[in-house]
Amino acid sequence: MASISTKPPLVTLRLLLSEIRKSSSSKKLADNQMVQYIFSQYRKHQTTDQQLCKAIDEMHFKAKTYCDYLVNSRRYKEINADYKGKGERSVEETARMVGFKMPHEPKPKRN
Amino acid sequence: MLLLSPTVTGLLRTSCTRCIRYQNYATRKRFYRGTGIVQSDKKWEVTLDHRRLKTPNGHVLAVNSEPLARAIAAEWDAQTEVITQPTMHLTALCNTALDNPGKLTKHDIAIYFLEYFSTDTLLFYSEEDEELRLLQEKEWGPILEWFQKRFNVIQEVAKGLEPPPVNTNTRAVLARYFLSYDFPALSAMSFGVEALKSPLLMLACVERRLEPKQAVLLARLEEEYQLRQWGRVEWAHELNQAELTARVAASLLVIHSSTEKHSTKAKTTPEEVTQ
Repeated sequence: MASISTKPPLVTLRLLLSEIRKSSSSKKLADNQMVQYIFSQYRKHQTTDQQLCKAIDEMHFKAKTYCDYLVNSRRYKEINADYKGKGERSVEETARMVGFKMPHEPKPKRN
Repeated sequence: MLLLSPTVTGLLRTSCTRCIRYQNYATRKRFYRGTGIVQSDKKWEVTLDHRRLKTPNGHVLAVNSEPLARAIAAEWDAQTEVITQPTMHLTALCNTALDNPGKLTKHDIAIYFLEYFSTDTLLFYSEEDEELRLLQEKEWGPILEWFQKRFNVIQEVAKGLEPPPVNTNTRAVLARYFLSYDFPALSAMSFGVEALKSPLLMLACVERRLEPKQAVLLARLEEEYQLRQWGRVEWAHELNQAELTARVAASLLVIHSSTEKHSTKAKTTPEEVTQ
């Protein structure tokens, strides 16, 4: 029998938990509603592994899909944040780039 | 020059509309602490604190499956200071299905797929590059073979630029298949098809032949082939890959959760078995 850490559904479970830990706003992982649900589903479907049943594949496929979703949306956001432009340069910045200075603004009169 | 205190300069800067240029799209601040779900009339709704989540048209966002509602709640929970709606595909797909901004019917979407089918990415092999063609035959061939076996149809690939003919039997079989899904699933499927540029790959995902990762890799096969020679650019290729995979995975989650209610049967829990 495969050891517990190499069983594919459990590998997916660990990945899922690590992704949820990164995205969740609650401090304790056990408080998260999604984590509680995933655990209940994993427990519910664990016996089908021994029987020849289609459901384990279906559930595992779903878990993998959700995992893909979480991993890739996070990755997308990270890359986007890394390379995001700062918008347009101001007139002063552009002038400085080509070695010009902006003309001085007239000073407001002091009393 | 007149010295202004930092607060005053800050005020001046924000009041100038041209100075707000660090924002690429309109964002909203996170206005809620926790997210949750509630059940009403056999449907599941998402709550932000104690308010119910609504669609842009003002309907209450209600979905048929519990895991989907939980995933949407988790998606809202994952937002930090600002809510980045462009990356919340599950919410967007459910909004589209409920509001139906295009005023589409199931038949419209099925017809759209059938039109799309003859220009499927998987039916067009490279003609200039022999090595790429071999790679495409090796990677795409099994999927096309699986498709022909699964639906019991015959589909030839394109010769040149002309789209290959799709015979009436294939069209009939596919139309029946598409129409067996409900509207939310079909609109999600069209989102996935547009990401992959291939109804064939989407069908393989829906039928659990391919995982979203694998399907996206096959859809980007030529790009991957070119990358070997020209190198990989993170902000173009990686970004594209991550986005497509997230989109396909989101649409699959919606499709599978809308179909599962027909097939799920309550199973006895392990504790009950041992009793």
